[in-house]
Amino acid sequence: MTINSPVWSVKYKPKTLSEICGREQIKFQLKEYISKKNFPHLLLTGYHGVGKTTIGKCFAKEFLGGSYEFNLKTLFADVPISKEEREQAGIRSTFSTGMIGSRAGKKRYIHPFLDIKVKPFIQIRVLGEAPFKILVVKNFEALGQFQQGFRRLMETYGSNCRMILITSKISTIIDPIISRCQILFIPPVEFKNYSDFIKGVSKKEDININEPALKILYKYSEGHINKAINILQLSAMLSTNINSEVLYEVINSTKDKKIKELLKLILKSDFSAIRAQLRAIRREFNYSAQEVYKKLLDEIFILPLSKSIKIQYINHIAEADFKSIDGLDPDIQLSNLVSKLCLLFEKI
Amino acid sequence: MKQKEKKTELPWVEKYRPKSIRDMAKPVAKVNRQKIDLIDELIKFIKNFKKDSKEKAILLEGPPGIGKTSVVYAIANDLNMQVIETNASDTRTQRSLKRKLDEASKARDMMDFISKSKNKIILIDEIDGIYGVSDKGAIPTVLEIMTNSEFPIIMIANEYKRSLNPIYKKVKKFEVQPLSEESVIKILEKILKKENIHDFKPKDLISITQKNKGDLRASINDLQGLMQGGRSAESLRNIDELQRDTSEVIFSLIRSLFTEVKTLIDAKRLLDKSDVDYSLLYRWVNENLPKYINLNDELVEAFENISTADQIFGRIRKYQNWALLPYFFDLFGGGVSLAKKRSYTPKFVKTTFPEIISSRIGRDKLSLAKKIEDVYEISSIEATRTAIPFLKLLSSKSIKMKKEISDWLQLDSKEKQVLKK
Repeated sequence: MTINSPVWSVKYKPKTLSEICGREQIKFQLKEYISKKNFPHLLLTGYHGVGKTTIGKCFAKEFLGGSYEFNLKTLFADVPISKEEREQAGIRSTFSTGMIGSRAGKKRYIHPFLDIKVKPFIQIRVLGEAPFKILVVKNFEALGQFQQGFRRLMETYGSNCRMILITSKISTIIDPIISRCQILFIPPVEFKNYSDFIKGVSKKEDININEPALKILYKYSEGHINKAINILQLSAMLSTNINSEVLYEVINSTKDKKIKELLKLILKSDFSAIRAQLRAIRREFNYSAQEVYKKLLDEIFILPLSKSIKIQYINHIAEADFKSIDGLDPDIQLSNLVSKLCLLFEKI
Repeated sequence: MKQKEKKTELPWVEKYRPKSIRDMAKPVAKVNRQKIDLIDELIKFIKNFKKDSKEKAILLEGPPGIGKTSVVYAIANDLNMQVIETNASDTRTQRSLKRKLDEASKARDMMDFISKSKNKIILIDEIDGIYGVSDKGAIPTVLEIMTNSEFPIIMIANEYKRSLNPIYKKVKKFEVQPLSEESVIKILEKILKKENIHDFKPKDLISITQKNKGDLRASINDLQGLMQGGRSAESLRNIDELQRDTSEVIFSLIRSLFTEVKTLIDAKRLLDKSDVDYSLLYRWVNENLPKYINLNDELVEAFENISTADQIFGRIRKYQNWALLPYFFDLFGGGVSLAKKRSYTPKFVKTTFPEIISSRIGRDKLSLAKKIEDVYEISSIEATRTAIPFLKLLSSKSIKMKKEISDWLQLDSKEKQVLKK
């Protein structure tokens, strides 16, 4: 299904470690693990979209060899538990401490994620010839305080199942987890490897891309290869000879207009409309507050603002993001930010 | 005369506890959403009870004060039976329960040999008050008693409790409904008549019953409190204040927070007085804040305070540091309302419910997101952020591409619609 895909980013997704673009040092280390048939728990970290998951998965598949289908599982920690799973967990996720003689808190709550998704996999023994199972947990930071529940699992079932935890925010990972893992920082792709890869794709798809356009693509996608291939495919539909003009046109069309509309509303400082737009954005893309901050920050390069105002703009976003670490209600934190931006834009 | 004086000391609730089902407000119960006559069913159950009958116990579930316990006593009285009761005031460990109920449930009285003694009903009141730690072994004991009992067992609970699941499986459950306002008023009027009080306004009766929402016991208590509290205008106003339901309480609270509060102490008092759940209350404040404050600089101040309050509340929850709670209150109450200085507030502002945005994927997109999850090997959340917008863009470029994508993902018409939008 992936090979015949009309979507290039799926079609050219690397299937083995050696197909992965660049990052030789990481690849060397992982291959060493494969040849020694052993590795500690891993924590892969790096910027969003650099290929942490792809590397982790390719490594796990190669490590497990033929029996990977039974012994490999990928979980997404940020996906909310569905209603059925929650009900299923409801029966098992609370237990009374009365049984162990403690009176402090009659009921303890275990995160249904651990109980429903993690435990059933890691408790079953290894199938086939592999030395142990591998569990890949993506967006591990989304577990928050329930990371605590994970550390015992890593020790208790460590011999049966190794874990590859993937996160882009290492600061939110608790220390006990970090101390149990080998941390691997996945750097962004270097331009040389990047351009080789893109050129390879364009050769297979019978298109030409010139050197300046390649540089623009690299800069715009920030080493995010999926993003680059998506733009490449869209540009290929316009013309088979891709130059910087075609590229700019496509990049403009892919940009999300909703954030821009939000900024326009902030300029008008119509607060109820701003809040409605904010909520519409969050609903459409299931954004958390942090992701909205990032989107707002990305707009800074095109905003026609003076340097000092730009700095204040960043300052406000940073402060809001910092507050959101502890804050409970994203709506309050976002409202706080937009109210400040209203005041800031008033000065212009 | 002396006796009469003594009688008035009794709380009215006890004084007028029904002796017979004829004096009662007829309770209505539901089984599987079907209305049934509770008294009939109970009498049938008690009369037809044999040691080997299948149904050994009945569970009455319903809000407090609607006559669940009373109906059992009244029936027992009418049928000339004795009630053996255990309730949450007893410790209900395995041993104490057994001691109390076993003898009652198995052995007959000594009096049996002399004369025909009363039959018994076993009443396990407040069964939802059985706790794991202090009442260790109570649930298995109740189950055991149920299988061995020679007498009908009636259990009473206020709400569903998961730990009682093994018991629920073996009993017939009746959901007792709150009483209608008319029947409550009828009984209150009867009591007033017996107490020789004639100058009571019908309006006050209505406000008492409305406040208590079918809770007869509370209504009688309120009535007594009101009558013996001197029937002052103030006590009536107190009822009025209590009568409003919670959303209305919040509405007026929000209104006065923004319009009446002038000092920090005012705000503090206002919040102290209300018994609204504060984890909800500050979200209400957030939702309605822009309606009362409309100047940019004041908005900033207000939001800065409420966001700090939110941050503090998050820390309280995270570290269980409840000592921080006063800051939270002051910031979202006084901090917000005092930020308003020059803002003009229209006379009528419609207070609205806080809007909660779920972190789950909307139903319309879910099936498409799941398909993408399988093929792309990304999470369904990520699919809604990156893959779906890209596929939308791609399929809008050419019809051929659109067909290829829908063939590839095997989309149905509904999912195609999502990509079209």
